[in-house]
Amino acid sequence: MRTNLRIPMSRRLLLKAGAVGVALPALEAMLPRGHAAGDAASDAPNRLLLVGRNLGMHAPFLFPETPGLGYEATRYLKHLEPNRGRFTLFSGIAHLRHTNHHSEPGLFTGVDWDRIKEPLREHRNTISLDQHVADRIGGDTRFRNLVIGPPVQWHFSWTAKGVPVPTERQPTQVFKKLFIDGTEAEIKSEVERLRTGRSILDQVGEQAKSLGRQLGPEDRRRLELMFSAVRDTERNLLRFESWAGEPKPVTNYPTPKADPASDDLAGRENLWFDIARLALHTDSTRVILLTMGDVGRVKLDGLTLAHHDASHHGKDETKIEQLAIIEEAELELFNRFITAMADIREGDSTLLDRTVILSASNLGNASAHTSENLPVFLAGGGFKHQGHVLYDRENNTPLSNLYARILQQLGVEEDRFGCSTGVLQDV
Amino acid sequence: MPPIKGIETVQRFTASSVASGRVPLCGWFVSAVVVTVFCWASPHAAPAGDQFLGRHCVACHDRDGHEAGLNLEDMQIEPAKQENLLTLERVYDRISRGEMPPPDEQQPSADEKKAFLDRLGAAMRQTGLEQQATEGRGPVRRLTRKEYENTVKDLLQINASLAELFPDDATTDGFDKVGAGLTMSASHFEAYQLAADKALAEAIPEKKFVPLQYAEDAHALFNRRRDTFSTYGCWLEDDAFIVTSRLFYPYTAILAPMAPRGGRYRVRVTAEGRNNDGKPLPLGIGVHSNLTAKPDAPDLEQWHDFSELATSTITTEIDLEADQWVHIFGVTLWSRDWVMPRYRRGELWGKSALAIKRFEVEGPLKADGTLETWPPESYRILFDTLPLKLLSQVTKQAAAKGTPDPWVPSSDVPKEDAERLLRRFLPKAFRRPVSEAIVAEYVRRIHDELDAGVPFHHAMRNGYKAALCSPHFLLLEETPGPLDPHAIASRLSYFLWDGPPDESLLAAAADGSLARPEGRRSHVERMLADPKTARFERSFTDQWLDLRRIEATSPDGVLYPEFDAAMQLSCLRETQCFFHDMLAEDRSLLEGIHSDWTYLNEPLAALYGLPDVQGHELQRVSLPAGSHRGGFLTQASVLKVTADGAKTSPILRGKWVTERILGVTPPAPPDGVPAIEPDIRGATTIRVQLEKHRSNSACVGCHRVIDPPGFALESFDVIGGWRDHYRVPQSTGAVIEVPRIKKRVHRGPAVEVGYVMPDGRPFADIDAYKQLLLEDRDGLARALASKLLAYATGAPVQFADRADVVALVEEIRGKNYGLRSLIYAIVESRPFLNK
Repeated sequence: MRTNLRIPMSRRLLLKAGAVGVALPALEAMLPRGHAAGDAASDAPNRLLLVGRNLGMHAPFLFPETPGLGYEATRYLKHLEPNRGRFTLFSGIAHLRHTNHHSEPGLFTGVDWDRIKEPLREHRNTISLDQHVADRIGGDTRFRNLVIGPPVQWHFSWTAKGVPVPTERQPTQVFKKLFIDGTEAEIKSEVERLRTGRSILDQVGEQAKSLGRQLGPEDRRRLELMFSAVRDTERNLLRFESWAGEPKPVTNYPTPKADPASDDLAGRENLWFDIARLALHTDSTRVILLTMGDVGRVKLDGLTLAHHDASHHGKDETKIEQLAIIEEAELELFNRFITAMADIREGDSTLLDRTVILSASNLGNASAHTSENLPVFLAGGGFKHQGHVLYDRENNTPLSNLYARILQQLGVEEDRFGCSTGVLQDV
Repeated sequence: MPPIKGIETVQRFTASSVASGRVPLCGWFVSAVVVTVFCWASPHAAPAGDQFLGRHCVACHDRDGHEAGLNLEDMQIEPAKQENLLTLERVYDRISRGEMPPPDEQQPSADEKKAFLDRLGAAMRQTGLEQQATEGRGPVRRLTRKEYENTVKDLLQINASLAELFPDDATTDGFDKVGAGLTMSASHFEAYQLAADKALAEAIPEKKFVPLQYAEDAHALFNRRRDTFSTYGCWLEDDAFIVTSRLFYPYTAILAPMAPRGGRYRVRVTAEGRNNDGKPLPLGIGVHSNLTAKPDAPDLEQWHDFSELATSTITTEIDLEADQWVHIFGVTLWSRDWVMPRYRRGELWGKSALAIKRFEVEGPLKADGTLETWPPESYRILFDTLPLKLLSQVTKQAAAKGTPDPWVPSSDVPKEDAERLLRRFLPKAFRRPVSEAIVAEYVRRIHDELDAGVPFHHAMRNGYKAALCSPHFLLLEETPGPLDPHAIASRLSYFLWDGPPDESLLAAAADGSLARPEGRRSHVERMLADPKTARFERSFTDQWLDLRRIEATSPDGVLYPEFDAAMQLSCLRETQCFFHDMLAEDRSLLEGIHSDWTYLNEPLAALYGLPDVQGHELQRVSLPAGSHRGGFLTQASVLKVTADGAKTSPILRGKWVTERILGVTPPAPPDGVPAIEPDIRGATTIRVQLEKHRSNSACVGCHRVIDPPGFALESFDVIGGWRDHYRVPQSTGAVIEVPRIKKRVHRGPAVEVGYVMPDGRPFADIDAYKQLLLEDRDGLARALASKLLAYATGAPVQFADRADVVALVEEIRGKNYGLRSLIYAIVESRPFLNK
């Protein structure tokens, strides 16, 4: 097994010290291996968190008129005041030509619209930013990446072959796989399971290959996709196997007993944000895609409409006010998350500075079904944040240019992504 | 022939232009005649750039202008190119519906239009059929997660929930079975292994089990509760255990012992009702998964009525997983918040109560109804008659202290047994004969492991696990062209049973009888008589009618105080029973639009404002005149899934009816149309709001089609009750009396009824709307036939299949459009019998 382990404080040590159950206010989580000293010393960001939403945001309440750090705090941005300077809001940015409902698949892939505008069965999507980055900055972490979030019907994460990556929907399960150790016997049988698992995959891969030879050209292509999924699985099992013997990071965050109710917006989003933060902090993974979006019907003071209904407001002021109740709540939760990320020190830096956070929606104005002037927040990540970057709201700047910029910020030496036409230079 | 360019106006798709075109209600084409004249013969060759298109379309859709992203100037029709089929389908439909050319442009004559559509249709069908011959109508597809679970259950004769281990399957063209959406990611292959482990652990139990044979009378039931519980909410009275409050855990909880093993269990309850105004009282039977999870809310699976007049006994069966409990409780009894204060004050309880006299549970049951014994059937399937031994006997090493000593299969001739068992298992698992090369590979791997010292039981388990993760197990193998008999067997079984073919079907595939219509017919009849058909009824209605979303929204408790879990289950059951009878009795699919009967129970009859029906068990009743009910559209389940819990939306309901019942998918606004944001300011009612919305030309095209059914259903509230007025949260000075529970809610504005069809015919209310729908019987039949065909074949109906759908409808027209007849016809159709 592994030799050069560096476990800052193992669970066993804690047990010996009789410290189990004692809250450690200054230290929410013990850092496991992989958090090598070299990493910690560098202030360069090495993590990416994408937050995907699908119902836009009410632009008049969101976007300021003045660019720069001295922007006027609009009704929505007031909720982010405590973190002014730690993020940049872009206006006038979009995936050009993307439009309408069903543009979710393109949000983080920046794919040419023609490849995904037809119904799902005609999709030819490309790789999403999280998947692209995972192999480049992923590092030696327990999980290559996470795609998590409440149940939704669309996919934001896509492989290079255009296959959607499913979202893990139960926070209790995600928490368990990140932080709850099995018993010794369970770990032993898990290692055995993973080992036979790889040998089985080997056989599955061979069968997929030979089956493909008997099929038509289109099916052969599908079998190739299957084969590549098998290869991905093998890689994952190898990774899990190498980690199976390692204790999971210890956190004093209370283990969630049940998945929050679907109408509890704050309970639900806070838990997801917290899990993302803990996963990044403990270096369990470096790439996370959090799928949020249509929150459905939630309980908030004064709210009587469901999210989708309110977002299709038709300029009706009552409905816009209803929408604002939801969007303000979401921004408050996002603000809380940025603060929590900034409060965690990492060497001379903070977890926030070492994590590129991008929150975006594939719709600008859901009421008009347009995908222009998208609400795009970039936070943390060591960028020189500009408060509000204002591009031409008639002729939008390609959002993929920001993705290319993010790649460079993460130390990936590439200068294009999706439909980028350049690398954004303003942050 | 150069294209004719002249008119410079680039005006299309405006409110006036679309509003004046006749839009057919159902399906994709104006008349069936157009399609039936498609010929198979090769069309005449024509130069690139079509004359008709040149004359009528290219002025806008030219090479340079590309109006709506469409270049018809270079569009070749004969032959129609594969990559253009989707575009041409849209061209065909819009021209045939009269939407194009726009009405303010020069119109083709009727003859010219028909000639063109015939030519275009024939060319498209030919290209479509050629494509189908080389590729099939859809890709080779994997099992859905539900199919996977059913397949493993049937193959191994176990009961374990496996579907939940997988990511949700995408719904494409309305169904999760449509292959294009059934992608496979690394998550799937990880889950396949977990699921196989779970299934094999259940199938090869390491611990001996004793089947449950539980029976207790009232005294035993009462005394089994913990002593400290005193008599909260229940007491003993002669031979009866009296329960006054529902779900008062643990005081009035009545649980049978834990299931020793997953499977089907028989439940028998002897009881009677008390103090319920002479009406029967329902006893709920639920499944309890984990004592600590939600002890107050077991999943309600079924209920049975108990009379006040006499003691009666009900016998039923229920599926349990290992370590689950059967829980019985009074569904409609009072809540503990009512019972306890009165109990503490020492009041006598004079309200409804259940008197339970005897409770029995036994199982797991084998298929023949007898008790499963050790070793279980699943073990026989995997290890035949090989003896089970304690691991310590096999390894000749005593188990370490504190570690279990499991029972494991053992063999004196491991290599021979391994080969024998695998040869027996693989064809069943892969649903077809398995090539020697594949068998040899499995055997070789197991032999290698045995040579390496891996114990027999371990090596075998790995072999079986590999089989359950194999593409041959996970994929429905079909090659382009006519299906081979084994592929037909799987098509039939995944269509009608949502699971694998049984031995009889596989035998019929092997002896060739499935290659003949009469052989298929006799198997379809046999299959529809099998209880496994319930899976089809469930799966199809869950998806077609969206019933799987029945729990997606919780009705607002202030506005809809009468809604509860019992009502939710009632409305679900109504639709399921209704569909079941349609299928079982070959009733006309037009009854899905309107029928003079339905299934009701006490809560539903009250919700519908119909004469009292006693009891909670669903009963088939005739609907009185003027009931506004009958058919799917007016069933509470459908009305609930099309609302969001507090509000209804004519748009959402209209879209639902249009797509699911009429079979029309409204097209998205074309690319390049500048979006004009809808402006509904100042609109006081939903109708005025939508009128304003429709004044936007980008919106009207769809809304004139989807709004009418939405407005027809506006008379029904979010839980399916009839309404003349909306219910509102704030006081208006007026109230609505809620029947049955004697509560009041605030009365809002009156509901506006009536609207116009897309073609302008007015209707006064839902009853009139349904009658207008029924004028296009063939259209309704085509719509449902297309849904069933997509479900049955895992591929949506393409242009080239339209003629087949028309033929299906012709086949059942003389049979009163019977639903069962439609199933028989589908099984014999070209799309079903070809990949």
